[in-house]
Amino acid sequence: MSDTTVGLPRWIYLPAVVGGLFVAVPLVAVVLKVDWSKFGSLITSTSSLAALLLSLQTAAASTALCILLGVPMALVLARSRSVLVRWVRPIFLLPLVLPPVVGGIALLYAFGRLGLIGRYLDAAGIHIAFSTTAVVLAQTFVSLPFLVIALEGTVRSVGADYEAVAATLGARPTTVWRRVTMPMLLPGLVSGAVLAFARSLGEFGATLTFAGSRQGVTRTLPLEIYLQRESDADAAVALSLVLVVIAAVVVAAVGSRRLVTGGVGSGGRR
Amino acid sequence: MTGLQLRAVLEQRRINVELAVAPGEVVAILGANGAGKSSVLHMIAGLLRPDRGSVTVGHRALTDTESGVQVPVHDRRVGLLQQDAMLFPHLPVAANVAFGPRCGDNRRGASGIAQKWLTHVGAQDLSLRMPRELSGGQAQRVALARALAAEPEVLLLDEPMAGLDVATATAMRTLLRQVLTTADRCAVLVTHDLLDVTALADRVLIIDDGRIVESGPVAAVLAAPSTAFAARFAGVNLVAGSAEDDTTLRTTTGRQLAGFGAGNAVIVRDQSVIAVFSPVAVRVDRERPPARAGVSTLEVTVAELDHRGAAIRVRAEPLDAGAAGLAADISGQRAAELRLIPGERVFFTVAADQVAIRPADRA
Repeated sequence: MSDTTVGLPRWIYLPAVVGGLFVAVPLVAVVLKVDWSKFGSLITSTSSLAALLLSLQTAAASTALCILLGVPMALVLARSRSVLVRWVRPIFLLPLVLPPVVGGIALLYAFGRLGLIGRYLDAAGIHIAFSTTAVVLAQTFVSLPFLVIALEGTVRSVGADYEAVAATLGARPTTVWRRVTMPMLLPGLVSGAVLAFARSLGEFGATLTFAGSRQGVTRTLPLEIYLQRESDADAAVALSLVLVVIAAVVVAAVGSRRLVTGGVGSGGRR
Repeated sequence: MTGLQLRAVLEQRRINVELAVAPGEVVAILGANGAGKSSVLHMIAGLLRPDRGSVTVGHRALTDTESGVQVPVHDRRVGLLQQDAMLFPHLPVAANVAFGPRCGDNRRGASGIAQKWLTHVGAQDLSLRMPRELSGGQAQRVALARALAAEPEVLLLDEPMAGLDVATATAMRTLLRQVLTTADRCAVLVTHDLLDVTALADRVLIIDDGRIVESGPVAAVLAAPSTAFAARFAGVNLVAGSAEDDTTLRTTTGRQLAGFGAGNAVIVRDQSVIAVFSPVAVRVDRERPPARAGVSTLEVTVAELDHRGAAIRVRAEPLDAGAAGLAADISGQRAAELRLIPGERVFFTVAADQVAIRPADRA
C-alpha cells in the first residue's frame, strides 16, 4: 500500500543518496580502520582511561549544571511575555552557533586570571582557568543551549492549560509544579539532558582554549584523540570508535524519547 | 442570596456583564464567537481578573476589585470542563479523577472517591487506562468525573460537547443532565448547540459584544426571541422596525409586515417593535402573488440554499443593512418547481396570523 499520490521527482534521490553516503562512509571508514586485535589494550591504556574517565565525569557534571540552570531558563523563555526576555533570547542561544574556540576565548576573558570576573576570583584564591572546573564550564557553555532549546519546545507544547485545569481542581502552585508541570516536562528534560551530555562529551575547542590539555586534569577524550593522532594513529581510531558508539547510543535514546513525547502530547489533547 | 453572582467589567475585551445563578440552576450562555462567553467563565474561575467587579459564590467573595479580594484559582471550588478533556497525559484515568480529592484534605479516601465518580459517569472499567488510550467521548466522561470529584460549588462548562460525534454527544448530554441537576450546585454552560440548551439549561443568557442582550427561561427565549442572535439560534425569523399600527411593522426601508400583537403590551405608532415568524410559515414565489388582506409579501434576493432534513431552506440576503437575512423552509417538490439560484429575486409571503409582533425592548 502506498500513500503517495504525487511522487517526488526522481532526480531528488541522487543528491539525497550522495548526502547519506557522505555521512555514512566516514563512519564506516573508522570502523574498518580499527585494529581489533589491539582494540582492548588501546582503549585501556593509562592515558586513554584517564581521558575517558575525565570525559565521563566532566560531561556528567556539566549535564547536571545544564539541568540546574537550563530548566528555569527554558521555563522563563517559554512562559515569560516580557519584551526584555524576547530580546535577550538570542544571546542565551548564541553558543549554539558560535565556534567553540571563540566560546573558549570568551570564557577566558570572563573567568581567566585577568578576566572580568576571574580577577576577583583570583584575588579570593579561586583559579578556574586550566583546571577541571574550567572543563566543566566550557562544556556547560556550549551544551546549555541544547538543553534549553529542547526543553523550551516541550514547555511550549505542554502549555499552561493543564496547569490551569490542575488549579481548578484545587491544586496549589507547588502541587501543580510537582504533579503536573514536572512530570509533563520529563520527556523533554531527558532528551535535552542526553543532548547536552553528548555535546559535553564531544566538546573540544572551548575546552582546549579555556582549560588546556593536562592529562587527568583537563585532557578529555576528544583532546586525547587529537593528541594520539600524531603519535599513535591506531589508538586515536580506537578511541574515536568509542565516541562513535556513545553518539549512536545517544541518537537512539533521544530518538525513542522524542517518539514517547509525541505520544503523550497527542494522547492528552483530542 | 446564595448561588453565583458575577458583576464584571473587562475594558480590554469590552465586557460588561452582570449575572446570577441560583443553587441547582443551570444557565446557558449563548453568543457569537468573540462575544466574551469564555472570558466570563474565566473570570468566574479566577483565571482572568476583571478590571472592576465582583464574583460571589454562596457567602464567599471570590473576587472583589473594590476591596482587592482575588481568591486564587485553587481555593475557589469552581470546576471547569472544556471542549478539550485536558486529562493529565502522564496519569492513568483513576489518578486523573483522584487528582482533586488528593489536593484536598481527603487524601486517603481519594481513590475511593475517584472510583465512585468513575462509576457515576459509567467509566469504572477505564480506570487503569492512560488518557491516550481513550476515545474523545470516554475522555470527556473521565474529565467530568474528575471535575465533579473535586466537589465544586460551581461547574463551568465551556462547549464540552463540541468535539464529540452526535451519538457520543447525546450520551454525554444525558449524563450531564443527571449529574448537573441532582446536586445542589450551580452550573454555567457555554454552547453553540440548541440541543445542549434545551436539554440542560434552565435559563439562557445571550451575550453580544460583551453585554448581556437577552435573558430568560429557555422556553420563553426560544419561543419569543427579541434579538437577531437568539432568533437565528432558535431557528426563527426576526425583523426589527417600528410600529405602523398595533399589528403592522414598518422596516427602516419602509416595507410593511402584517402580524398580530403578541402578549399584552400596548403598541403605539412609531414604537420600536420586532416581528417573529417561523421559516416554515413562509411561501416562496417567483412572481409577485396578488395582494390579499392579512398577508405580507417581501421581495428578497436568494443568498443560499441548504438542506434541513426533508425541507430546503432558502436563505435571503438581509432586507436592511446589518439585519439577518430571512429564511424560508420549502418542500423538495416546491424547490424543484422553483429551481432557485442564489442571486435571484423572489417573493416571500407570510400570513399575518403567523407573525408575532412585540415591543423591541422586552428585557
